[in-house]
Amino acid sequence: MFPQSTLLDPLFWMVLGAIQVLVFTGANQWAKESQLGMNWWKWSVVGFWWLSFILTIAGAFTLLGENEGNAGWYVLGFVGTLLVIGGAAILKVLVLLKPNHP
Amino acid sequence: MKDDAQIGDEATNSSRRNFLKLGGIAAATATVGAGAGAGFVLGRDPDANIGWGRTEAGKDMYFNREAFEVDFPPTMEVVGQIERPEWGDYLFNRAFSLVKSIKGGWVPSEDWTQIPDLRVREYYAKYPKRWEEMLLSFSEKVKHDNNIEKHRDRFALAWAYSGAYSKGLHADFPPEPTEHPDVADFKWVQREPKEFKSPKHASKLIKQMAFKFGMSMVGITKLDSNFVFKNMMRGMPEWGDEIPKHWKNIIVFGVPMNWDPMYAAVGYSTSYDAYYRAKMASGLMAAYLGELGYAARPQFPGNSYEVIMPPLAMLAGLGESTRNGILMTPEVGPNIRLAAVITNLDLEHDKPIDLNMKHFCESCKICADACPSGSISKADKPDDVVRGVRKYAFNQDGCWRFWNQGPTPSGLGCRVCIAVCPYTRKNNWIHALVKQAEPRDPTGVTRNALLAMQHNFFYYPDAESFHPEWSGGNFASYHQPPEWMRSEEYLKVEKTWEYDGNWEGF
Repeated sequence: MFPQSTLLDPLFWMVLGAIQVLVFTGANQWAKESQLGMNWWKWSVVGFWWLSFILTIAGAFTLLGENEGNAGWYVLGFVGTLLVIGGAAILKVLVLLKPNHP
Repeated sequence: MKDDAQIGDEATNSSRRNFLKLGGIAAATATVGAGAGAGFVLGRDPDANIGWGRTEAGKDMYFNREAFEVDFPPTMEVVGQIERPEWGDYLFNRAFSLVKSIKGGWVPSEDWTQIPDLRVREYYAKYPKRWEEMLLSFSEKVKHDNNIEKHRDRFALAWAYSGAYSKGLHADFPPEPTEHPDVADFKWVQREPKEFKSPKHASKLIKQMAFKFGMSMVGITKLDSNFVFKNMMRGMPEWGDEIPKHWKNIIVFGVPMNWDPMYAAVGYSTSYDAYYRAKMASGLMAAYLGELGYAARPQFPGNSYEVIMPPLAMLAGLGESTRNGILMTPEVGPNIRLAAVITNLDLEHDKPIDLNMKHFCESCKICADACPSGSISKADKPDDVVRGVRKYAFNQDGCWRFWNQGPTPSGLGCRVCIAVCPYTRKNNWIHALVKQAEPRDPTGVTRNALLAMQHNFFYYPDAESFHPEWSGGNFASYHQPPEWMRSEEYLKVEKTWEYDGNWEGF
């Protein structure tokens, strides 16, 4: 986030890493209250989706940053839409696989 | 009945749960924002500008070639007897000879058989259709000269940048040889040769020195005589086809052109910045070898060569040959300007590499579609044989014709095929990831997916748009010029133009 900055750049990445703990702790709380019965493979799918989503956003904005405006918006729109649909599908599967799903 | 303590615990737990739930949402939102922000500034990061950032540590050449080493470059497909290039095969030799003849009173016509210089005539006897393009280049140059000053308001800063490097490029270092190579190449020698522990040690040191002299890429190979010009030797008015005995090895190195001007070719770009740096490095390397007691023959831009550089660079493992006929490296694609030093020092040689670029060029064709002069073949497979090597047909006279139309004061150069190439990308994380993945995928799925995105998501101006206004274009460029080349930002000029090219998209 702060290239060439001696202090801010490493601090930024450390803070971003740290808040991922909060992201997943919060997700865990939501999952418990929704009684999703999360296990290792369900968390792997969710984690992979989250990583893909963030990398897509970062990748699209990297393209925008290097003056590839067209490509940046297209990647965001095309891959981003696919990921949102994929995310909804994952959520649906998690709900269907709830341990006490009727 | 719950006692006060239980109620208190439940309230605390509820508060904790709510904190985690809402905190998680807030953290996720912050992560999305941070991803976008970090991505954007990484796209802007000057550290991604290979050759203009972390050069001295040798970190520009980040691609590990070892896994891709082969005995012979796959894009140098020999299909007959390899022939050495002739004097007339070199475009600048022909162009300068023709200009000299014109200045001497000769009037060019459509009949190439009237060309005064036999060596030039012999070339056009082989490629008679190309004479039309060369002939057109003369009239286009006149149009260029009549129009160029009208556009100074727009290009003033770009011309100043190029002009500064042009002055440096034309300085007398390294000096041009003026004697027989057996004398001239040893003029660098200052002391008795100091013996290296081994050729491996020598190569390791020489490569480090290339980086320290400002070069981004370096490779070493035996001087293959197939790529040494015949009838050409600087400093010698007459020369046959002999090759000096002390020309044993060649150190090939290069540096990319400054990225943002290069992307803004034609009008905002020349090659002079990279030419200047490559030329200086060749002189420094020659002097360094001389200090250690070894002969040196620098080969440098714009026009001071006895060898053809790209095939030697391929043999030295720097990259592969491309559709547009120039060297393509994994790090900077074809955005590289080469120089070299031939020496009698024993060196360990690098091996050529196979990065699947052959297949990439077969599928891509973006350079051929964008070429303003239509000089690059659009064939599915290499469709020409040049001096015994199969390659894509390339009309160098057509390319030269467009050079003479370019809106730079000298009217020399184009670089559109370099700017639009999908391999000409900065060293940021997305492009580095892609460049590492593509050569390792034997199925071609990665290549096809990437090219589908390149063809559908990226904006490429029409080939005609790259032309200057006086020949029907609108001075388009792959990227719009950087802020520091926009005269309206700094000079008292009235902006009467619109830019056509990629920009940040906001």
